[in-house]
Amino acid sequence: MRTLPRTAAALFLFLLAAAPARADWIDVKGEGAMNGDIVEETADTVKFKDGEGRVHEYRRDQINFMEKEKKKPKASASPMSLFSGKKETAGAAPAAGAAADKFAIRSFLPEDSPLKPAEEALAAGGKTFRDYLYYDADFVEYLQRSARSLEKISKDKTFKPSNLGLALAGLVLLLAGMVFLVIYGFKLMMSMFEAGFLWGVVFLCNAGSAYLSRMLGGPFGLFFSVVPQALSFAFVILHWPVARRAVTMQLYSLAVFFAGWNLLAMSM
Amino acid sequence: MIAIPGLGWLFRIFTRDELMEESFWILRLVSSMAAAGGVVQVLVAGFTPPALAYLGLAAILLGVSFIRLYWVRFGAMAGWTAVVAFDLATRRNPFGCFFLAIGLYFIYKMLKYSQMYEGRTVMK
Repeated sequence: MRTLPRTAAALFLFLLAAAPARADWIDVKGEGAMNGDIVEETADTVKFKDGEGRVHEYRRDQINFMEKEKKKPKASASPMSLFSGKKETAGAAPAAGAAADKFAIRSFLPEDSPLKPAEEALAAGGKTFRDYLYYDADFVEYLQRSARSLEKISKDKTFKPSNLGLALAGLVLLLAGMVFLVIYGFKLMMSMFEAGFLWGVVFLCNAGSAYLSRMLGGPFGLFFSVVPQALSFAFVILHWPVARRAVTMQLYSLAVFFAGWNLLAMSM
Repeated sequence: MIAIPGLGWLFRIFTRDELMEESFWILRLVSSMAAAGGVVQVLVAGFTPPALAYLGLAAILLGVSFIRLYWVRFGAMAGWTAVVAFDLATRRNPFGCFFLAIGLYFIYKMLKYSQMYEGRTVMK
């Protein structure tokens, strides 16, 4: 029991941190997709160095698909760099060859629209805000960086001798936390049904969508799994005076559950 | 006013009792989140300074939520909002945006309430 959470955490961190480093991709007819470096590009050929260092030359008509790695500016250390005015804005046209901002708001307006400056300003503001939140990295890199620092913290751990009393207390807390989680889950369901029958249906859909989303899979599955959760969150915001007791007590129950898990882990 | 559920609650000025009740639940909400976050951090990374900071914050906020004094509540709200703002500026935790909004909203409500109490503005 002592090693289980550590193993799970380490596995999770490993999966996050071990996501393949991005490089250039090329998909050649008859050979499949490869990861490596695009060394040279001419009008009708492409020179490509694969992972083992061998350089291949392909004609353009042999290539199904090709993607160059996005080169990012170095992450700035200081939050004040936000005000230095050095960053490019999303509204400006990207330079030739540079990858476009993946999350930039697409333009839906015609070129001569009077609302164009407002749209560009919105896009630039959004990009500045995302750059600020994720240290100029994209969200995946941000997660990987957080995972690496967590991994560093979790490395030095010491084992303690077995302690039966601590284990028993841990089990009691674990069980109590689980029971109260269920009780206050039902309380939340009751308050949702009291606020309106459809709200109650939304709560029940949370359980149903867990199965439905897996049966459907893909974007539809994702959609059906997220909608009831988003609506439940909306319920908590809109009907806060009704939902607050159940929500806060569920969170405290979660804390009790994990405190029990901690005690159990410390006892072994 | 357009009848959007929750919007009336959002824009109204609370009475003293309502303000105490609302800030009680917000402090409890934040405290419960900090407690849950703290114990999960202990599980994943051990008793590290961030985990202890979360647990300490949870304990302080839970304690303060039971004190029904205006300036104590105001101090707790302002202090907690300052912590969230500092966290947002240094660690850039995106969830901080949500908590910062709640904190600023309650500071606004409490300042509005104190003006009402001292009769400096007319509230309807």
